[in-house]
Amino acid sequence: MQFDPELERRLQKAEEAIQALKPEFAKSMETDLRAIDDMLARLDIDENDNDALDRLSALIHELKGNAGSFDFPLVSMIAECFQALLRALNRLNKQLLGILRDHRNTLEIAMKPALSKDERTHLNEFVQLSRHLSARL
Amino acid sequence: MAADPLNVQEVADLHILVVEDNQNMRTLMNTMVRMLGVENYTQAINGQDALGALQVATDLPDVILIDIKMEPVNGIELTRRIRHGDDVLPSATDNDDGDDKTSDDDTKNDEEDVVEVEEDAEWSEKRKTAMNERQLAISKIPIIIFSAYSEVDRVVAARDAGANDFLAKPLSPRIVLEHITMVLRNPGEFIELEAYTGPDRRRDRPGGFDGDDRRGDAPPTETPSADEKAC
Repeated sequence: MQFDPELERRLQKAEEAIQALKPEFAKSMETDLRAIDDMLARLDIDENDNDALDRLSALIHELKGNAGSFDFPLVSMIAECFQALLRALNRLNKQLLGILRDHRNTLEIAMKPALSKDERTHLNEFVQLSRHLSARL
Repeated sequence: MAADPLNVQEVADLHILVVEDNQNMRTLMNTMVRMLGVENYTQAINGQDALGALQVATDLPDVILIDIKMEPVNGIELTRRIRHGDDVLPSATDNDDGDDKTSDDDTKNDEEDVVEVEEDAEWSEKRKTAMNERQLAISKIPIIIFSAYSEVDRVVAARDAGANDFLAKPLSPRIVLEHITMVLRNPGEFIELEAYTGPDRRRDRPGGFDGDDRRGDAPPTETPSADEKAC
């Protein structure tokens, strides 16, 4: 949809203003990461801790939706994989918990303000693997 | 579905209500609408807050944007309440009931008071009519539901609750403005359901979706409050 020139100019300014919010959002993602760590630690102690699993799902869901809006598309994509994996899980065990940790660690890489080409390749490969895994569970 | 783009003056004149429990997203939406030049912008931090805002609003919003995942009233339920007029009017309606006054034995035998009761009844009737009109106006405000979920059951739930549109995150100023344009230019229609229900987005669940995000058939457990969610 093409808006009038002034509105198009304002849309451009709005995009720039959102870019300026990225550092602040990145800080909040660090808080998210710590909260994810807390939930994974609880699941380490008790794999049947449904409350921890629900809270983890809620955190990942928020991250998926919000990261994309703040122009962190890879964070959003990996969070989507994380969410799909959580949904596909019937029962948690040590091996699956390790895979959840892999997702958490990959999220941390994707949160970096600047990514190298190798890192991007690694992240995209991870997404493919994760999708494949979720489909098989 | 085609629509003439809103112009800069139409956007400036808009009154937008955004209901979102996440601080980051509220900041983002606030930045978006401010940069677009929207002069009348209201934020609500959850469904209850939104219902309160609608109760007291002197100038009703032209469009409401609602996040789906909120507590204690989620976006689907909030949409239902707005459409059905639940909780969107001031609670002082109890005082409008003329029967309360006519049942007072002291006033029955007092001529002046009878006249006053008749006047009250007339005023009460006018007030009820005005409130019905207000309720009707609120129930017709276009609603856009937005969510990180884009599965078909969410879209259908949003439509069935009475939303005019479903907007899948991520949000951008252009996408938001285009969706606002579509709902304002096509009142009373649900916008392009098929656009959100491609095969890779389908995830049908038995029993559909009622706005509750708990997984599977597990019994309800405590979920984090808005403050507990990191934001």
